Amino acid sequence: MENNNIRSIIDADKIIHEPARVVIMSLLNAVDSADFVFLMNQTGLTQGNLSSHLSKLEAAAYIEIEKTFHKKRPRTIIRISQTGREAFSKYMEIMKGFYNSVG
Amino acid sequence: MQENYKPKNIEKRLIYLQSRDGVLDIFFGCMLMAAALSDTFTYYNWAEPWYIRFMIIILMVPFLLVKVFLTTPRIGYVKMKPVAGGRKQLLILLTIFGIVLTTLLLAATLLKGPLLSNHEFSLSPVVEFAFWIFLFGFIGWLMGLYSLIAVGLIFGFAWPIAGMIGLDSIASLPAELFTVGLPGFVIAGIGIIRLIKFLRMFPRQNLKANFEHGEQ
Repeated sequence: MENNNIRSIIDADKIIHEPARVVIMSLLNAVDSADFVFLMNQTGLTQGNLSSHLSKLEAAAYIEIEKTFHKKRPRTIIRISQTGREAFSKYMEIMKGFYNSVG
Repeated sequence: MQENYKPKNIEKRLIYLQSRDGVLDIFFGCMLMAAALSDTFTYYNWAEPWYIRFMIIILMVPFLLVKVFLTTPRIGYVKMKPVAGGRKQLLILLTIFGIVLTTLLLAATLLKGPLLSNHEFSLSPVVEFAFWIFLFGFIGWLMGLYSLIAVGLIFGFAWPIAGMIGLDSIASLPAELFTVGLPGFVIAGIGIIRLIKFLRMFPRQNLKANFEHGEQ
């Protein structure tokens, strides 16, 4: 049983399994939507870095990105998709199982 | 503060983050100072300017302007998930309670003369102390607005201290200034310091259009 949990990490989603993307997904999983500035402040990532990670998550259809204007300034709204929510939930189960196995 | 990204805790974290601008402290401080000013006018039988009675509404304007133009652009926009059933009912109940209380206070302020002139009352400093600490502490804890606990402590402690230094006649002007005006001044001062710190800590982000996830 424990062996299965240890080996299950091999099946962990590689798109999510990157520290910055885990933080992004954790934040987006907890809220309805957030903008680029909020994610930048919360993750501590640079603009370029965050943009690159968001592109990867969007390509996997884990997040949805909507560009709007607020008081004549562009605002990028990001929200987790249903696919992303399910993938993140599965990822967390695997990680919990793994951590429980290794103590 | 330890990072906690569980959905049920993140809302509190966000409210805490938004409260770091100190604007709520400035708002409460100004309200208390306005109340002390109103008492000063009453004490000397001066004609009270009309705007003092509407201070809560007047102060809402700069409060909202700062939130929209200073706070949100710096910490970013976030929309929370819809609240769950039980919690939603509690929030509705608290909102109704807040509206009723505000209406009563506003009505009592506007009808100050006929309503209160013959019915002066005062609570014991210890009861005042316990009441304010409990009220602000409870709201602060419930909403994650931890600075409200400090507001409750500053405001609450003023009452027994006033009693200890001999300002025990609550209706007197020095006592009113000490228990209401001075805490208001201190709370507003703390709020201004917090606002300055916040502006330094969260500079306005000048995002390059190309960086913000592709061309804008």
